[in-house]
Amino acid sequence: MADQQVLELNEVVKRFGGLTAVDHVGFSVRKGQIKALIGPNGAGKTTVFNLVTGVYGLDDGEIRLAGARANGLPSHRIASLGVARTFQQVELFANMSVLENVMVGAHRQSNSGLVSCALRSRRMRAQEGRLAERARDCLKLVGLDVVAPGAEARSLSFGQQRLLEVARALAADPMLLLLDEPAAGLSSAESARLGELVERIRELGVTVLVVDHDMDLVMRISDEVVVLDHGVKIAEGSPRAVQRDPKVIAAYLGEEI
Amino acid sequence: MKRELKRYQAIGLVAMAAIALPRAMSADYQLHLAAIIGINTIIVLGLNLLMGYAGQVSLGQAAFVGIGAYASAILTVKVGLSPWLGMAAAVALGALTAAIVGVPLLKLRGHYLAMGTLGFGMIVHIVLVQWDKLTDGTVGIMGIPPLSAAGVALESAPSMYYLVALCVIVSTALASNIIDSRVGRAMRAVHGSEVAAETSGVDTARYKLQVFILSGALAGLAGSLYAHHVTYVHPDTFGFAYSIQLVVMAVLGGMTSIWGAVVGAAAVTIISEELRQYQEYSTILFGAVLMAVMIFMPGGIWRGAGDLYRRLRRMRPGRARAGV
Amino acid sequence: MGRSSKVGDAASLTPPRGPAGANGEPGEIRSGMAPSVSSLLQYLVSGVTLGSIYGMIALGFTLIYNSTGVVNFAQGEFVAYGALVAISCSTTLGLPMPLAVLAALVAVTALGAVLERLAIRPARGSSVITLIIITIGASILLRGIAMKLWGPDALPMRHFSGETPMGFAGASVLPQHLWVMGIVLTTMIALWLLGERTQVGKAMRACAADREAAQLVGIPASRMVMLSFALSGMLGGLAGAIVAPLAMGQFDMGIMLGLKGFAAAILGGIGNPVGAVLGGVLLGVLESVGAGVRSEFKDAIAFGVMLLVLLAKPTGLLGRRAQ
Repeated sequence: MADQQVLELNEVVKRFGGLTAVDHVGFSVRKGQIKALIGPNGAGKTTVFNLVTGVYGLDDGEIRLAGARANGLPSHRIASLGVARTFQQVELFANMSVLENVMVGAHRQSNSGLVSCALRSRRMRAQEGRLAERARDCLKLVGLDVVAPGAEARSLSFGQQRLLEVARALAADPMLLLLDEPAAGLSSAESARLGELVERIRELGVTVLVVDHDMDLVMRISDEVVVLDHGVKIAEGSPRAVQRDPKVIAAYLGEEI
Repeated sequence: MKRELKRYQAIGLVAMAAIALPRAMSADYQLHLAAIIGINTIIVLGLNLLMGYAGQVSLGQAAFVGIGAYASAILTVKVGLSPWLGMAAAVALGALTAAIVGVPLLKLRGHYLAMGTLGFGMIVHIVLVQWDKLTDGTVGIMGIPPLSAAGVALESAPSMYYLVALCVIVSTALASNIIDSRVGRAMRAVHGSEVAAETSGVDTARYKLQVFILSGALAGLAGSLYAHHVTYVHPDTFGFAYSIQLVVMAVLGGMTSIWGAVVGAAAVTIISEELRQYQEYSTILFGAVLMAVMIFMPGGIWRGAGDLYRRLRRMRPGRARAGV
Repeated sequence: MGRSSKVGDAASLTPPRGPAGANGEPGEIRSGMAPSVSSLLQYLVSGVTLGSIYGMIALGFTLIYNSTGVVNFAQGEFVAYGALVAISCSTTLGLPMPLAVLAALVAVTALGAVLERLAIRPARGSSVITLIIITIGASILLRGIAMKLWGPDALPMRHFSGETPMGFAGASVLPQHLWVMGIVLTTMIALWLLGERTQVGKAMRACAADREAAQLVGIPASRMVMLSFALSGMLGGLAGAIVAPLAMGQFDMGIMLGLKGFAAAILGGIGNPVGAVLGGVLLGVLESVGAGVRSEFKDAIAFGVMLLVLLAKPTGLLGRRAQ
């Protein structure tokens, strides 16, 4: 059976006023891959994430998720197609507990509506139990089972908050997980643990697309790398090949002081 | 499970207190006041869900109360329907209006949403005054018949109070159930981070609308209870001033707690009543107290009292100085 | 259960009338009839007059919103105090009109500053709803004080230069109408000059555009905030003083005026000073014409227009602030 394309971008364009943030970018991610999206600051990486998750609309081009066209779909519909993400600036539900945050991630895994929730029907209670259990499993997977599930999300340390976001994303049982700079602000030890976590996630059958600036991490865990610069794709290939690509070196050197 | 037990215990305690109340109160007047507090509590519960939990805002809630009150009044007095049917219609109309108005309005945020709901409230008031063929305008509608249960008319102060108390208890239980559920989490997630909620699969527009409709339904129910309790409705009762009073009750009590609804409704209703004897100074005092509470206890009385209690405990003599 | 909110008529400046008679007697009131050119002109006169007042109020809102992000629900009370202080000064104390107006100006400017210092500054950083409620509390407090000081009745004020109506293409224009329009226009020009030519004005604009950047270049943001409240007070107070001869002064005239002023600000685009004035005048004219056609729904016009704007284009006609 041919390799499934979990995510395909074809000639995707996104403009903000006069600035073309994403300029005819195209690449795809195969099932089971860990793919990295890198590039100097301002290259358009987070914009690509926002386009894939429906936070922004495309100006041109096409995005396909497991073969289905995803242009113009609202974010929650794209989420139900099996895409989950974390954010560069942590976007937790600070007003809720650790466990509740992760349970929201599993929102699409259940379907009790307003009435059955108000009446606390048996079906709803059973679903709640399953949701809580799933949430606890995800917390365990990312290593947050040491934290009290009832603790307020805002009381966690920065590194823990990042992991919480990952747990929340995993609770959705996604086919594709988008990690937006998960290693930012982490120590090298925490970074190494993150790398192991991403591998464990892959073993669970989740495809991963990760954006990050930590080159060690990226080169270590990814199967393939895509490089963007000023909204244009300049290279794609194995980590080793990309590292040696003169265009890539120039792009990074150009922006380094 | 333990949390559920705690919650039902709390509701049970309140229920028992509510039932015992009429015995402690001799005057009909006090029971009447308690019924009004209960009616306000039902509305404020809806507001708490809308503002405290889902993070939206409504400066026009009195409009839904008015719609419910007038629905009951018109259907019973002019059309001759049974009061219970009228009440059902009041709830349905409150919900329906919220649904229709909510679709466009909830696209707005922050101050814009606040002003949009305010404008809606003003227009409903004007309609109640001007559409006098339907509402009798500034004359109001009198002689609203009482509700009756098992052939007995609920006219006396205690009987109306019991009905209202029952509605309060049921509404509180429902609200409490919703908050600690998938739907409640979705609403609170919308408040916490709308973009993260959306990308987690929460249809934020839908949940905003649902909580808005729920608040409209609760307000409609409260309006109907009001109409049957006071047996007279007038447009000016349901104007901007009342909308503001309701928001004040919600915020003063503490928007992010169910008990805050009870505390806020009780506090504001009682204070307004007490201040009435000071006549000219009542407005001045109310304004001053309101400002003071919002400046010093923005989380509301419920939380403010809790914080104060915790702080006092830490300052108990005998404790080491460290840690204060 | 709730105090009644008057669907008050303090803002009605001239009833819709036909052209004045030959001896200056007021024309018959028309409503529900198709307007003629002269009555349209009449509506325009009272509409622009009313609209100028709305514009001043809207500008006050905008100034405070720009500098603090707060919607000042007590703005209407500034107008009420301006009117009442001017009335007291001219009627009770017998001061000459210019002095009375000046006194009103000074008093309400001070009031604005006091409000900022006592109510807004301590609550800085609070949530939107908290700040809204604080200003609502302030408006309730101020209304209560006004009722204590001036009583519940509407008080009249002498027109600045007589009440002889002037005929103008069949429409009847009172001198006070001209006073209002003239003073508002002058104030707008003065404010524009303040913003463009003076250091203080430019500093305020900078603060409104980007508070942090302004602070980085040494502009004391908190003083700018106080200034914006004081300036809003001045605008509100002036508006009250000059409209009092036409609309009378009453302790609760601020409720409706404030709300409609805010509707005007939204119509023009909240955050945009030119929009505020434009929105005010437009709203005044719409309300005047609408009242001439169907007077019962006069107040609904302002809120209907506001709702329409919010639903169609929340940033208003000239809106620049994205949400």
